[in-house]
Amino acid sequence: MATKTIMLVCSAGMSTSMLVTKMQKAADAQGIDTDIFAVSASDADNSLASKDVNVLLLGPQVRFMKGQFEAKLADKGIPLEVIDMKDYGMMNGENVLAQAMKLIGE
Amino acid sequence: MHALTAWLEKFLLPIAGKIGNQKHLVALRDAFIGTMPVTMAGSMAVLLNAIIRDLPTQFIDGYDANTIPVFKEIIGINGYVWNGTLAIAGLMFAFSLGYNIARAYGVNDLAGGLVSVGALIQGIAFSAPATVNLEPGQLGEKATELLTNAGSVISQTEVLDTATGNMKLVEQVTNNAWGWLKLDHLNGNAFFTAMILGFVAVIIFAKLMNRNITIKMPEQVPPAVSKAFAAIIPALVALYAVGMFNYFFTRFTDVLFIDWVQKTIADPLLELSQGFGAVMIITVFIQLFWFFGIHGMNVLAPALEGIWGVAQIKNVNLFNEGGVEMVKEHGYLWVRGSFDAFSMFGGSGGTIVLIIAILIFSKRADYKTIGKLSLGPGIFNINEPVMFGLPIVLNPIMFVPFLLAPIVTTAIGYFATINGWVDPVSQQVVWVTPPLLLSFLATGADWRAPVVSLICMIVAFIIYAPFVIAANKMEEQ
Repeated sequence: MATKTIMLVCSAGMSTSMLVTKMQKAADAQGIDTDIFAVSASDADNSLASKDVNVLLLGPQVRFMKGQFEAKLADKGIPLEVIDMKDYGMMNGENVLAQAMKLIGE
Repeated sequence: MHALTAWLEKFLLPIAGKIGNQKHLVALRDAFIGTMPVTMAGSMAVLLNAIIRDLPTQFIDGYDANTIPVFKEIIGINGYVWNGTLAIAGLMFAFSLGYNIARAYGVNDLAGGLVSVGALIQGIAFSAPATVNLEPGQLGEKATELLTNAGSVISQTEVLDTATGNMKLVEQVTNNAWGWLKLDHLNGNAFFTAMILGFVAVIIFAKLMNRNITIKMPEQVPPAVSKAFAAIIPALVALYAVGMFNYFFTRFTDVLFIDWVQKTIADPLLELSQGFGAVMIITVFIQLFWFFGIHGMNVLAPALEGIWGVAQIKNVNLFNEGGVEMVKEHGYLWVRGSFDAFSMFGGSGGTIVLIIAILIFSKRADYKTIGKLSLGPGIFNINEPVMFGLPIVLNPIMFVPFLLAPIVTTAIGYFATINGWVDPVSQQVVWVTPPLLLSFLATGADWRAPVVSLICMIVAFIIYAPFVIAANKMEEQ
């Protein structure tokens, strides 16, 4: 199975980067080959241009940027969703990973 | 309570959505964020000087860092770093803004940044005027000849004698050295002009690009070359439009646009930001947005960075010029970093004390788990776990303390600063700096600042604690 690239976006990329660690752990435990990374909203364009992203997840605190990202991703066909609030707060890597994998369609 | 949150949600969420999707506001916010790597380097230089040069003088008589080896060198290096960063913060911002606007329109971003810089620079002072008044006849013939040859203008003028209050005749030597860019037009003073002219110029540029009013090169030409050619006509029109504006503005008003903006827009707006009401309004809105799970600081960044952030850069520069006394005299008392220093400990809402209150008082398993999970990030002012995990978001019990605590702590910090009990924030410190240390560094190492922050934290604790206990009892019932 090819590597799945999951991109997380929040305001400064700080709290999402904590989630990345937890998600990576969950992925390793399940034997899923993934590349998960977090960026700040202002860096998102660079990452989208340089990386082959399979799915983009937004932190709930920046869910008002959804429209902006939808416009950016429309022609790329990258699925986009806001991370569930409770999972985000509890840093539940497993659930968020499941959310991402479901969006990719695996 | 439910009706209130429902009403607020209906009112606030669309605002957040509008700001978050308004591409010009997004570009403005990203432009400020984009300058951070360089402004932070400059702030580091000022902060280092504050610690090794200015702080010890408070405790050691006759201390002069400029006589101490190594320190002397570090101070010298800091000077160069400052020259290349904060001294020209407005210029950097102009580029960042043009780049981000062009990006938002999906056109050549490098050209957009350059057009914006061009639009700012064309309207600033290019000459360094200097005037000396002399008693008539004091200047010898030879000196007169030399000065005139060097480009000075010598004239006899009547000026007001401040000593006697009468007019008196003087010989005035005016030298207008050309070929100098005025630094005061490129630093924090340039922000508002860069915003106005940058937006105008780059929007013109981007619209022309999007309408394909460009030079089209044949297909064999390398893409990099044709990209640059395509930007020529739009950039030309944009810069000419701003150029004409600058020409006629100065012709009819006799002042440079940038000086006019400073006097009629920037100064009054910054003055307004110093009022208690303005500080409270922004505080309340940050909290309200966060209560609905939206990053309040981020949504309000165009105002926070555009007004209080500009005030902060001025303070940093004033500190570099003359230390804390200069800031107190000519600077702004309440700036962007003041919020972080006195009320945002642990993140918006001062949630680190909520976490402490939970760890002390709460017996609820869910609260205790989230308290432990949130403590680590909370120390670095990251509070999403407690915000979404507890949750605070849309939690009716937490609404009151979450709104009230920052209002009270901001008020304490505000009045402590206004009354001079603590030095105003004059340094730019990364927001992930742990509380107490943050306010110490932000005020240029004023030991009273962490004391005030600690008082704020205790007060916030007293506000949060009863609600934590109440949440505990609700669980029991």
